[in-house]
Amino acid sequence: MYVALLESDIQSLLMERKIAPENWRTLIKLQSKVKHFQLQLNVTGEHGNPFLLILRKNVLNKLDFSVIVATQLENPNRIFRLRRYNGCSHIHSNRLESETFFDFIFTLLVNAIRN
Amino acid sequence: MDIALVEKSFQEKLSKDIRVQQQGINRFLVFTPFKFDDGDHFVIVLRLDSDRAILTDEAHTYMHLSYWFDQQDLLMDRFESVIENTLSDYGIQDIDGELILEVPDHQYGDALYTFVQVLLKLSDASYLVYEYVRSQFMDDFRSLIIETVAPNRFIFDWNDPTLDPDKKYMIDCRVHDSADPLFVMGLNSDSKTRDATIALLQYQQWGIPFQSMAIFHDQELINPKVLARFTDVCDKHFSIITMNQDDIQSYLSARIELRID
Repeated sequence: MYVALLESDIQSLLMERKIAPENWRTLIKLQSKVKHFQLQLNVTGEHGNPFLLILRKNVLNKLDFSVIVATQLENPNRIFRLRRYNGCSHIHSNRLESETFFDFIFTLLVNAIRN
Repeated sequence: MDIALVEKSFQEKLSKDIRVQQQGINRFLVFTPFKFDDGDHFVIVLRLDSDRAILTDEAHTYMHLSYWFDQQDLLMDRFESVIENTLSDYGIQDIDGELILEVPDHQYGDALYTFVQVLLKLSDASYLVYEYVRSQFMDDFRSLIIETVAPNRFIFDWNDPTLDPDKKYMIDCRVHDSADPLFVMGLNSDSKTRDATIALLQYQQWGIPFQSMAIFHDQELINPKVLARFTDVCDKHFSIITMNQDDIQSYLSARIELRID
């Protein structure tokens, strides 16, 4: 069955402190996927919600990377993407906000890890 | 190589909005208005290798497609043949995941035109994934009807056999009741919404008495003008199927006589 989350639920999930394992640095070993590396790291939030960090990095261009913060829904069993952060490798356009930019979006990710 | 002339060639062949910006040695980013459905523009790089110029995506396209495949290699396999055929048709090389087109005889504009065509087709591959995910909406739509309406009271994928034998104006679900029938449409894209608008208008033109109702996958994703034209002809609509399930069932229950087995 199709699932959508309320904006308040999404905000709550984003604000939930994600507790990375103590050895998270050793766990971030990107797996080779043709010409990009990829990794999925499972972490648990302070309220017990399961989260995933899905990292990708282009071998040819180190500025071309993405980090997806997602939550794992149980019923149905689906990954729900909360945020995607990209490196400065391409233009992005937001249709609803009518804006176009060529920049990084990574600040929130740093805060999430620190939390 | 005069990069200003190259940029002009790109603009003349494709779009005046194309810009070329040097970023690195013998490496130039080509900014175009073409993008994936999620708003990310295509990565296109003009690179000078020895005595040749190439256009490359620097392996970004496959990485981008993997966002939607969610590491489900099976889904990637489904579109592998589509991708291979597309590359072959346009003479694009796939070297370990990097898409490369050599620019022949300084034909920069033509080369970019071809390269963009390929990326547009490959972005259709991710569109196919979107469609796969969005098709689950129609399953949910049908499930909702089945849960709410007695089996002998509705029919999916209905067309008027007399007026529309060629099935040009399909109705996702026709609900019968003692009064006018209820045409229920499940809408998850601009094109589907346009088709629904045309279908409802056609039945109005034919003078068929009916009531209409629409259930959106997510109304906010529909182009505002497309949505406005549709809501002009539709009697009732619900903006998001998941948020309005109770209201939808209440509305259907109020409209028809229920008999749930």
